[in-house]
Amino acid sequence: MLRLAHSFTMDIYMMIRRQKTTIFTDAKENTSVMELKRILEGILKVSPENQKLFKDETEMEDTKTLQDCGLTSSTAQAHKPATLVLCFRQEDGEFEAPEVVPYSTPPELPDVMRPQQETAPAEQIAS
Amino acid sequence: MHCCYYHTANLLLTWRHKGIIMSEGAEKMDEDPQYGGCEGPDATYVKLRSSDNHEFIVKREHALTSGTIRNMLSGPGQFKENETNEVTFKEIPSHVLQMVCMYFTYKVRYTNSSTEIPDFQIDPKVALELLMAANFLYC
Repeated sequence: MLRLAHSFTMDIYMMIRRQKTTIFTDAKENTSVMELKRILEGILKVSPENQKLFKDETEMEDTKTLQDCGLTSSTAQAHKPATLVLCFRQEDGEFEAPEVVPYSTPPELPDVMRPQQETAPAEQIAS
Repeated sequence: MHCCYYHTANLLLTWRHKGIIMSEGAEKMDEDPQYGGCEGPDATYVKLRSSDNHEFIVKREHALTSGTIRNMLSGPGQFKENETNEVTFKEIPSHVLQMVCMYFTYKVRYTNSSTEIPDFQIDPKVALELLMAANFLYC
């Protein structure tokens, strides 16, 4: 009975980033890349042929499934989504270079929150 | 009983995957009826903007995890956010808002779930700001 419960395809969770936009969405492992582009079309109003998706600098082909591109339920979880980069086709017909604006950086930990030196591992703490 | 759960869970997952709009009588967005966007009162997605102008697009259902966002989006129509489906947080930086969005997904995924729930890891550097954001967002 329990086996039956796990036989449906798993959801995978992604962050799709382009410049200053991040889209949080999920899909099934066996969803095709083309299908994902259609979902993005619904949100961003850009047709799939003007979109390019990259995972870790590798272009994702339309006919492949997300699982084929390395997105599985263990690498793309709800609280640790996988990151994909999106590019649009520019007016001159060429695709823009993949560009993602980094997020802000958190402030340094105040001293009271730092781990105690006696209990810290062997690494040096910069002064 | 297990079969029933499996069937319902499968239906729910398919429903969420298709991005089917929750309420009935929703307006038709484009020629492509399957995937919704950010327009209209029943949009599938909403936009959350951070203080440094990063845009985070999340499912409306997920964003409603936050009481504050729920009030902003479904208030008596006085809030402009209700129409544009965009909420700007002038005090929340992008690295914090990113964790907030991940939390929304985590909460919706694992609420009422019988599978083993993994820990939600929080880097100590972000913890204080995340706490303040969570307090503001009421979630």
